[in-house]
Amino acid sequence: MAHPDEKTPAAPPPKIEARELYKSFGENHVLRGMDIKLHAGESLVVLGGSGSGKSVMIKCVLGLMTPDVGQILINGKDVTHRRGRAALEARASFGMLFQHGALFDSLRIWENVAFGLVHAKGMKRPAAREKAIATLKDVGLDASTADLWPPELSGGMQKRAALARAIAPSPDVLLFDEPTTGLDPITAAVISRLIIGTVKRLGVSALSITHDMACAKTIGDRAAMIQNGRIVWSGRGADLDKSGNAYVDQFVHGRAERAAAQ
Amino acid sequence: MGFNFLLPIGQTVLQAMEGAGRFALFTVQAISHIARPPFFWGLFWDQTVRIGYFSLPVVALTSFFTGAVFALQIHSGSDSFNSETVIATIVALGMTRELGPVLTGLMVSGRASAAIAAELGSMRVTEQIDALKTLTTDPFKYLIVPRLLAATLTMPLLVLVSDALGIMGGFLVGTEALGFSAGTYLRATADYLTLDSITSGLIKAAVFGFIIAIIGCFQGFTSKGGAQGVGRAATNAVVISSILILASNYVMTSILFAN
Repeated sequence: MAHPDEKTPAAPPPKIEARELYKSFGENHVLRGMDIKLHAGESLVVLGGSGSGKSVMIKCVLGLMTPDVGQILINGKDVTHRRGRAALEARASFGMLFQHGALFDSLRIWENVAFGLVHAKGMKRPAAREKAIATLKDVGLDASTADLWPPELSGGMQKRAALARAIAPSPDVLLFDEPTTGLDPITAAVISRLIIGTVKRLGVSALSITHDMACAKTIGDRAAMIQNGRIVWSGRGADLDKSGNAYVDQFVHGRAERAAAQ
Repeated sequence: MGFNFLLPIGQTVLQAMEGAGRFALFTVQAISHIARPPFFWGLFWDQTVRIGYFSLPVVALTSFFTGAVFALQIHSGSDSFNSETVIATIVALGMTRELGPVLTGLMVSGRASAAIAAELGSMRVTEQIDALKTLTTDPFKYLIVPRLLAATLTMPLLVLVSDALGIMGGFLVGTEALGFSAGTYLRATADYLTLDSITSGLIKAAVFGFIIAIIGCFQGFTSKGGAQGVGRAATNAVVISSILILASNYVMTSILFAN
């Protein structure tokens, strides 16, 4: 056992930390003191109903929105008020999977996947194409999809291609916005398993927002419930069924009655 | 209480001023990105083809028939004495100074400004613009600057084509329909057509190109509300850029031709 006076090495700062975030749109107060911490190597799922503030929270983390009040720290550095190039560079180690994929319509699938490699990493196009095709295979897409256009793929395949685009530049942190929205239950389960498999294989941290309980249980080491713009419960993903929180219980069991705000 | 009727007026004025302020900031931001690397030359070339080359047919046809109709109208409205010289002169000056740049501007506005707004609007509502940012790429550099430069630089070239075809339309009507001498018509055109007339039209064209692109980009970039919002952005882009083209044409004419 270490001597009480002996200095232990400081724990690394969280990959992402949001402190007391507030964000309003006119009279609509969406975030009301939101706190989130994502530690290295963990997969955190933030659950919440429609309009609870999940998307606004993740947009604040990504720098796509600026909170009215509060701080966003990435690897311990405050990036809340960074703008332009500095804001982009602060999030250079992030990979993002958008709700509907957000693949670029004007680019072929391999060009989508290679986008970050070419434009952010400065890789030459032939090498980027090879890496893109290898990454497509990693997410279960055949090399023959590389030269297709995004609308030529099914919803599930678009999600896979978008995941390939997110992981191709080797990010430290992956963010997922409603990754199973719009997919049938079987495809949703496949995508959820693909996500957690990818996260564990790459050894990255992951922050996901979803209202899909099955997805949350599959991909989350840790879970947090957001209600009315703040976190009302957090714990292990496996404990969602026995949280002891009325709103979480209601959410888990899909009951329609209104739980009191915690 | 009795002044409640002023509320909507005040709100409208505030909204208009807020919109103007956002547009001004957007324009300054776009211009500031033109001078700073990185540059996406491939995208610039792609936009040059889409805005310039693909606008050629509509610009060529519009200009040719306008020049031809212009010659007919001048002929019917003037006495026959010396009309050969008068028609050639008015068609040449009218096309190069006013009709060439304005008609080309309006045609390209209808094609390109709407297309830019619809494309960027669609990218906005499907989160593709947000995706660009998460891939460490500045949307202003990737989307706005190539379109702005392409429209500003290709519009003068389109206007040169428009001028030439408009004059040709007038020439064909003059020589084939009205029986004028080709040599006299061309000599009159060359005598009165000055370099100033041509360059003034090209300066206007560059300004119109900038207006077309910046309005299309702003409307698309700031659009919201799904498919309906994208449609509104495209319509607004055409209407606003057309009005600005006509208004700025008056301002530039009064400056360029002030005695």
